[in-house]
Amino acid sequence: MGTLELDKPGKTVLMMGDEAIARGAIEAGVDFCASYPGTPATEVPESLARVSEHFGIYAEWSTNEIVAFEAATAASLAGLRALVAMKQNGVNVCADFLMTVNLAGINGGLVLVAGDDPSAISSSNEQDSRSYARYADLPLLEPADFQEAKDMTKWAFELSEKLGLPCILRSVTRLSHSRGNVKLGVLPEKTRKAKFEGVYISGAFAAAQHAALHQKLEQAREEFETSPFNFYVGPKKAKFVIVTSGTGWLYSREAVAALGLEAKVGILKIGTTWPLPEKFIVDHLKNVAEILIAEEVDPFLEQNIKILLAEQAKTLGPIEVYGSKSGHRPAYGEMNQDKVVQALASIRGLQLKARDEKYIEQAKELALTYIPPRMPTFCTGCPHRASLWAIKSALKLDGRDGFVTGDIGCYAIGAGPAGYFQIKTIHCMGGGIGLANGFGKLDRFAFNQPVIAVCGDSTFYHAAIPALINAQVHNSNVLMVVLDNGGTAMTGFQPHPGSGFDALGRSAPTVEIENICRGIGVEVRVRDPFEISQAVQELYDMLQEDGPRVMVFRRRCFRIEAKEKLQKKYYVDQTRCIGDDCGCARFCSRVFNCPGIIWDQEAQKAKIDEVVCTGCGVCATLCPGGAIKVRGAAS
Amino acid sequence: MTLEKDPLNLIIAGVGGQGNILASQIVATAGIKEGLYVTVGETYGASQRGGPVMSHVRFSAKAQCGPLIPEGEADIIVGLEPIEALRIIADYGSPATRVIVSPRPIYPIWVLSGQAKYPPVEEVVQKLGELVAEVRVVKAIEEGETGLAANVVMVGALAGSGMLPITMKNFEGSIKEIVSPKDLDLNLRAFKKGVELAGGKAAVPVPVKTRKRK
Amino acid sequence: MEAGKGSADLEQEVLGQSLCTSCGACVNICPYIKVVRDRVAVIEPCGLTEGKCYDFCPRTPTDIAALDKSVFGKTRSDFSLGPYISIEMAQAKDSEIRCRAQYGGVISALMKYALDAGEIKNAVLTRPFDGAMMPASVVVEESRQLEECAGSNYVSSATLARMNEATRQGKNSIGLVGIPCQVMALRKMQASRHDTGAKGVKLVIGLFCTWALSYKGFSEFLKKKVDLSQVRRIDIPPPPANVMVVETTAGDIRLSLDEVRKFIKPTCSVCYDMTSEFADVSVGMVEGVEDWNTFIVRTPAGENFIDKAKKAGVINTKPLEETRLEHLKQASSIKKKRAVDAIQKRTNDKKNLLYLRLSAQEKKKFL
Ligand code: SF4
Ligand code: SF4
Ligand code: SF4
Ligand code: SF4
Repeated sequence: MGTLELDKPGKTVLMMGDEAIARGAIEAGVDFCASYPGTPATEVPESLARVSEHFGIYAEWSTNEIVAFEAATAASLAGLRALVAMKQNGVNVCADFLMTVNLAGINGGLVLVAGDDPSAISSSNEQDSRSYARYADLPLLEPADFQEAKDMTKWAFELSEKLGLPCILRSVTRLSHSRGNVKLGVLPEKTRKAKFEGVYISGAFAAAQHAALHQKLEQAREEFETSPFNFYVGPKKAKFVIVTSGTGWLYSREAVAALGLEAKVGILKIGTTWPLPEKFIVDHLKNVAEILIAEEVDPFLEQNIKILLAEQAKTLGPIEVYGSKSGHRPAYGEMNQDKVVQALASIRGLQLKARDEKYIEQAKELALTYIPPRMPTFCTGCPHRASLWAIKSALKLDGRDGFVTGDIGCYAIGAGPAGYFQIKTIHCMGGGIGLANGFGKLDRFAFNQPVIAVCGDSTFYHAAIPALINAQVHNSNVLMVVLDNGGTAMTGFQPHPGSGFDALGRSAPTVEIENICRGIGVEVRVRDPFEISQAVQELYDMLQEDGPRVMVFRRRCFRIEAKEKLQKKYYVDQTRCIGDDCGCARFCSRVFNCPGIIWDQEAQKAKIDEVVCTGCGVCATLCPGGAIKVRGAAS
Repeated sequence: MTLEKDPLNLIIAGVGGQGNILASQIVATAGIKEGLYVTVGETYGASQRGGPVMSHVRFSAKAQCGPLIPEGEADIIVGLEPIEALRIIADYGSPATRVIVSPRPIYPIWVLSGQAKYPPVEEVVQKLGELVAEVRVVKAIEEGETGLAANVVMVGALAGSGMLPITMKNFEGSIKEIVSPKDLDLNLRAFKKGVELAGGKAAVPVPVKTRKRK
Repeated sequence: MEAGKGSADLEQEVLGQSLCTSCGACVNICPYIKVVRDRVAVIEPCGLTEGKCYDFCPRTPTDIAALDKSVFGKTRSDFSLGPYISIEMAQAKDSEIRCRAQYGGVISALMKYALDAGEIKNAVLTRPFDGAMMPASVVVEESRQLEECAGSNYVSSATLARMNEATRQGKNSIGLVGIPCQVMALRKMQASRHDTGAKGVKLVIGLFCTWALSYKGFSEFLKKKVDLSQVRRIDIPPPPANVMVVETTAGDIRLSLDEVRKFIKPTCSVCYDMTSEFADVSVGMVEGVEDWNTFIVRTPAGENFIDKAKKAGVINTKPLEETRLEHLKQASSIKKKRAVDAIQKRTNDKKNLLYLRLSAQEKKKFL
């Protein structure tokens, strides 16, 4: 049994931030979870799906975030407790619903987990989703450690129910994907039955609703004034206080300790960052002369606190505020302890115990010039590698300087060497086909470059269909290539409408991509990218046609495939390997670049690294020497 | 319980797909069993394929630590791949750092493509030795051997090294808790192999020529 | 022969200059160069500075005299038709072959004989219609498969790419039917210091050629007039008709040749060879005589083979009248002269003849 189901109140376990959020939801008696996968929030719904049978939770992977949010809201309207989790970009997808559900209100506890990704480690932006809370007038909670991730989530459901408003819980990659101590709470008896009553119409009396919303927010503020998630540590009469939220809390505490400032610097840690617990903050800032705001990405806390300080100028007197505006913290990128240490040191004029410069130089020199860099690449056996090689080949054969517009997903690596530098634009889900749509209408301006829009299979359902319909209606010259690998690979192979199974792994009806295309009236072909020469030829042919066209490159990601099939073992027959000579020039390891093929320095021939090769066999079809063979197969 | 150094900082460095996360999870859970606060931060999302991956594991008897180890503060580095151990010294290493490293290279894409060279492993180890207090080379996987989880062997070597204040019992308890029953046997075997290697000949501390102290 | 260049140079000097003939010599000898229909591209330069691709290409420097020596053992004395042993008219004896094939049916008859008699094991040639009007190069093992290959085509397909594939599979007794640029490339391959399977080609029958169309341009043009899947046969009746007849399931379409000529591949304007001068045997039409082919035997191997074929009663021959021979020579010379002019216009340099390396005598005649 995993820690999620563990019925041992008081026991401390190791939990990932996302798991702690899921456990908090479980302890709150969550009934319903709908989500679309997205790093770093994926593991929240994934955890709930894993224990859904055990706790009687309904869990689904929805087509996209707004659909998930709406579905979860339905459960709330029927009196259930519901959770929806998404990455930061997903919040944008939800925004339309968010800006109306706040007015119409909800019934059962509804929590939206927004997983932000400072430094855009797995994202195409590093937006700070907290602004949505202020924008939509919704209560915002920011857990600072693993325990809080659990406890706050549980409380968020109660709060949401009490206010009749969805509650936003903002996590970040560093919390969601890190692990730490969590003391388990009590598992509840679940008794809720779903029943819809009442009227939830946004805009019926919009102004009145808006006024009521502001009242609810005041009510939230009252609740926050006494919340245990807001606290102060440090000397009673500190003149210098760090005001912090989220992961900034742990970094601040360590920074203060590292500089030995415990007796001089206090830390005011805020867990409920919108609306601010104003009385609580004002109480703790009386007699304080300087504050440093330690938060991640946007100066959200900073600006709100500055407003508060201005309002309370009479009570508080002048307080010097350090933060991103003053240049003591960048308003981008991740926070860490070192950044807080540096800010503190520069404000207080402290001499840092610096690391040995020469040592760092020596080590840096080794890291940068002595050892080779390591770029992320497609997995061994990844179908995207073959697809992008086919795309490159077809565009080269076409010869009109064609290019590829992309969006986000595994295949975004295709913008780099792993994908032969083919992808030229990356924005958001569905952005590639949307752009291609526009490029495809530029012919009257002497534009004659062919455009290929690549999108993943999951992205197709999520965000590409409206653009494809638009392309059809306006007869835009665009070739869309759907890289269909059978699941949402980037985030760990969650199913999508074409997968044929659901969040719990049970078989489910499929909605085929090609049927959707046909329904729209767009010409569609389905090919296996591993049959590369055929794929190239057909892609080339499609490039010669006008109007919208769709090529589905269908080959299941080997990670899904490997679960079901015994893999073949490939090896290089070095007697047949052409190697460096004309006729090959190390195509497999140098150009095609599957990490499964390595260059045997001694033999000066290629060699398969059997530990990492997945046995997809695509290199064997490309090898000009017929040197790559299956072990045990008749020759 | 008190730690001789609090927090005690461990980095497990490797390449995406090497099982970094499982390794850090085993070590961390063992730490919790020991009654410690443990924080594990994974730098570079695990979703990145084939890129460098490292886990920061921080132990404290006093409080929960932040998920990232400050610069120069790694006490122990476990390298699942030789150059990945070397790569992180500039940011996290110090002359007091101790390193346990597997010598098996995983070639980066630019090495495969001939645009970059992978230096000889012995030399990498030597260079490591010049920067840190101690390097132990642990041959987690013999050439041609497959099936045994190298990451868990390296966890065993860490346990066997005595660098962490965690008992064997808690390490094994942690493995039992984390690994699925069908893989348990294999993983326990891998772990034991690592423990033995750490004590035995395979883990030879490399003589260090120049050692700088602050 | 000037060697010492690689795929990047091929891309720059040939493909980038629209000089590629789509012969296919550079395709399927490595993973970097690919062909789809008649489009050839270096997908990514391989990085080698010296390679087969550049060496084999008929549009990289080609020394005509040196190639003469390697194929015939001597240089030419006839500067309009190239080396030959005899020139006649010929036709297939089998009237069925004759009526299926356009004109005299000699090629079908000879290939059929070569396969049946075991002179070769495989024939590499072109099937005129492979869906949507694009010809396909095929490898044939049995003579009855030849039937589909009868007829003319006006778009060239990468026959040597198919041949490279076949030789890579170890086929080493091949008879090849090709147009002049393909034959020239094949001979360059056979003469190359690089290792190549082209030595496995034992019999080369060359076709006459004045130009070929670019598939993309021509098919897009034709698509506007007819559904390409309905096209059954394309033919250019002898002058002075000046038309191209496209037979379709929905009836014939007549296109003005002047309109069609717009889609001639640019490389054809610099082509120096009309009669497949490096073949064992060259075959073409005879203007004004239906049912008969012009028939040039060039090499001893070709002569030897033709003797056997005659003995076996596969073809009828008769002498080519002097006036017709003169006419042929003139036509060939005009093509050469035009090519040299076109090249000089391209390079804007009287001395720079692109790929052509001509002997002093030839220069005198055509410059
Ligand atoms: S592609 Fe084939 S011939 Fe070329 S180096 Fe690799 S194994 Fe050898
Ligand atoms: S078979 Fe070839 S392409 Fe496929 S994973 Fe193995 S090495 Fe890579
Ligand atoms: S034929 Fe040789 S030189 Fe030319 S592209 Fe291929 S490998 Fe390179
Ligand atoms: S060898 Fe033939 S196909 Fe290749 S570039 Fe030259 S003319 Fe074109």
